[in-house]
Amino acid sequence: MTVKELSLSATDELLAAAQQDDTEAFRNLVQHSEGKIAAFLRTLLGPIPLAEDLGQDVFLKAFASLKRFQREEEFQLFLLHTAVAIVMPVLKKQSRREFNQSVDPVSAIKNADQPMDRYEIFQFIFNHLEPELQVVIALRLIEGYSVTQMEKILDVSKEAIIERLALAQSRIRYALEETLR
Amino acid sequence: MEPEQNQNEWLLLRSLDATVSPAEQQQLARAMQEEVVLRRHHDQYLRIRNAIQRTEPDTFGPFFAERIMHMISQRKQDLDFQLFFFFKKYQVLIAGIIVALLIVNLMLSDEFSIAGIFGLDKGTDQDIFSIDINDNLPD
Repeated sequence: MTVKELSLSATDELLAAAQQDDTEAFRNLVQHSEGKIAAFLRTLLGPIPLAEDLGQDVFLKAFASLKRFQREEEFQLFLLHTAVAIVMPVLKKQSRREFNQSVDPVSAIKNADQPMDRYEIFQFIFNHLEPELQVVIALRLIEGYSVTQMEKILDVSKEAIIERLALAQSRIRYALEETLR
Repeated sequence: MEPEQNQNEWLLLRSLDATVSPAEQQQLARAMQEEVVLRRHHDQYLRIRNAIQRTEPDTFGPFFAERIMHMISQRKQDLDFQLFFFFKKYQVLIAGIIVALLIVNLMLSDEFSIAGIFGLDKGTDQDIFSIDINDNLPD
């Protein structure tokens, strides 16, 4: 069994050991969780060095708050909560830039110099959603977190999450339908 | 441009991520039977959801954990260094105050001696013999 496939009780033990200043235990916790954070940040930012830099910040913040977690699950949700808090300003900055350029994704895709495949079209549409909508799509539809988990990660009510998910999906469906027509 | 959306589509989207009431379930089932467009949208939503689900694990690459541990130990060292200098400041300040006090003592004293620096009053033989022992004895 690799560190990434540890059972819940094993990861709870790792957390307890890391809280007792066992650096090897914390290293194993990082190895166990980095895939989830990498997936989430790289979905939102793409495979760029900034995603890894932000990932490092997430784990450094988690290390500083290590003593407050009772169970490893809380540690995982804290990692994602921190990742959202760290990535949001970056997404908002990108979104402002695109808003200033007033890019309509449907006409931009239709007028692109090179034809895009379905994946590129989805990526383009996804990148043009508001940051709050990108985050819920990434967490729920791409990474598969439950709405209950997302409530804790985002610190937002279930109703607001469902509403954002519905709005984001309808925009994606509409844009895909228009561009693939 | 905003997509057009009716109440049933909104209900359909909610039903994909949340539990809807029995009455809403019935309304949705009825609408799915009656509206061809809604059925088409339902299929599109399911296709999109299946297509974008993650199937491959992701990673920041090898040695990510090692880099984190290195940064943590680096930060610990930096913190120790900062703490050392934080207290060093106070150590220098206290030493400065002591030296200043010793200089004041030296300036107030009549002679340049260790006793003068530490403010010790060096008694002469005459001072010692002038003490009247009987004054301090009980009757």
